[in-house]
Amino acid sequence: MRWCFFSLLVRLVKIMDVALPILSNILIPGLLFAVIAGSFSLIYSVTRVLHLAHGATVITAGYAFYAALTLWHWPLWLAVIFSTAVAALLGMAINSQIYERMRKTGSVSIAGTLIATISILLIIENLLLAIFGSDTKFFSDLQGQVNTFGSVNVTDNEIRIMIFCPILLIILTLFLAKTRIGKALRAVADNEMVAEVVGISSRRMRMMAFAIGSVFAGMAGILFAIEYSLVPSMVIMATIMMFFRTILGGIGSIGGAVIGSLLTETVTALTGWYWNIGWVQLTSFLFTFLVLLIRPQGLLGKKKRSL
Amino acid sequence: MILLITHLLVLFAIFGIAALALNLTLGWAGLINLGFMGLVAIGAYASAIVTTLHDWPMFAGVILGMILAAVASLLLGLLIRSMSGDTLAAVLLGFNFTVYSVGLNWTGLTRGPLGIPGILRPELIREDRFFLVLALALFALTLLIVQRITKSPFGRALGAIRDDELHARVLGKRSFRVKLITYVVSGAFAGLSGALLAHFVRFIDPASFFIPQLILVISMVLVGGLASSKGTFVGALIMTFVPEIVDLATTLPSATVGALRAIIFAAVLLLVVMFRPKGIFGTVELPSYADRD
Repeated sequence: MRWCFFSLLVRLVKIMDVALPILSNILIPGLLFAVIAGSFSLIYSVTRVLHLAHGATVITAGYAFYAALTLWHWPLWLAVIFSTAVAALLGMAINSQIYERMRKTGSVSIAGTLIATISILLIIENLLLAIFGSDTKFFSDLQGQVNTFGSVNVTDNEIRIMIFCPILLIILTLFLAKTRIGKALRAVADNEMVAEVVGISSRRMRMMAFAIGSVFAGMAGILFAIEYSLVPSMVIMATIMMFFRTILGGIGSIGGAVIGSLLTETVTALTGWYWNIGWVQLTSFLFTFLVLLIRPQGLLGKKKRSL
Repeated sequence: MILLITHLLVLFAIFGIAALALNLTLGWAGLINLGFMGLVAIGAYASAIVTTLHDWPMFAGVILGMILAAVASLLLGLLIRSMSGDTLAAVLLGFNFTVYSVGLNWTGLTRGPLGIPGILRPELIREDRFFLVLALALFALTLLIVQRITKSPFGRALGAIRDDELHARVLGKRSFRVKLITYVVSGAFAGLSGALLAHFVRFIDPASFFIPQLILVISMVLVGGLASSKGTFVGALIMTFVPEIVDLATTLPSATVGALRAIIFAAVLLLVVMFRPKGIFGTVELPSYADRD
């Protein structure tokens, strides 16, 4: 009896030895992208704008962090505040200068905003390229040393991601559920016209959604930059990854962003485990596509009312 | 200078074919076709691979590229049948991304990020100015075919389906079939432009067919105007030559010039979408989807 228990324990430890590294490989990028996708989703649900340039906000925050910390030698806390502020300003500027103008001229259609947002993406990517050059920017100091827990090796920054990202997601959820502004945001997301009737300015709430969403994107961008280093071509890659994860989970819900993100990372980890890490982009997209064939609105998305 | 202008004119003809093909789906069929460069890539890779590795003549390679791109477009059309709005945009962008990803990773077929160099041209059109004749002739042919299609009863049915699918179906138009045929024709011309590009530049890699090029072709269509062949002609002309001004007017390092050029055409596209979404000669608005809540 005792022997039987012991062998079970040994087997369990063996399984954990394999499972824990995989789990950390899923959680680290999964949680990071959950924050990015969640803030993208928040902006979408309030403004109905598919703000793909959000991916550019993330990477721009990373570059702002690099500029403040490495080029200007600012202290860490100031660099964090600076890059978050840059992200927020960028998001708000894109909203007020482009999306709101398009709304005013009535040219705000899906295709119109989509093409506008992809153009912005390309402009920002090439501005970063022209300003910072195409070489990779590293943050080896901040990545920290490798810590070993049993079979798992994680760097300081990966621990930071696993602590901060869930906190950010919880703050975002609580903010939307409990605070006055959060409730107003949800009211606009739910029904703009009714929200206007009870005195909530949907224009202000759209601006608010862009500000808050971009702040979260900025914070995720700092962690992203430290973890993966920076090159300008990441703008498009990060955007596409964010977009697919959000659509998979169902756009417009933060829970969907978390689920979509973690599921995609699971597929990614399994692809890396059984096949070749180069193919992860393909398999994760095909997985998303198969889910969308069955549920076009995504896993947690609400079915759209048809007129 | 003459060499540069010849070079640009060939690019104008090749991208003009691509823009006409995109306009068929984006303008006439009302599909927000973000997967378009994937089709161009299929045409380019098909022709490049069979002519460099299997010694096919260029003519056969181009035909193969057209067929494969048309088939891919058909399959894509079948798969996206039930999708709309954001999901559709994501899937189409994802198709482009899938082709890019396969191009990068299937190194046995595509040589991955190294790309395929040394793509051959037949003796007759080895020089750029003779290639220009071929490219312009094919561009004219494409223009003619697209005009014939869009002016025909089929084209009017297509326009009706784009503007009000339900009514068109009530009137007995088989909307799905009409759209599928359009996708196939568009795919074939996308493949043609890709194959021509491969044989003209003589080098392709996955990054030759991605978001920047997609934005370039979309800007050609939108500057000229949706659902207008004349517009696409003018748009392609403008978007081929205007960004070159940066090259000629400045002495910046080439990496910066590349970035500036991309910024210029993205900015032009942004301004057009914001202030004149119908373009110069456009007749219709960008597609929007009625089923958005």
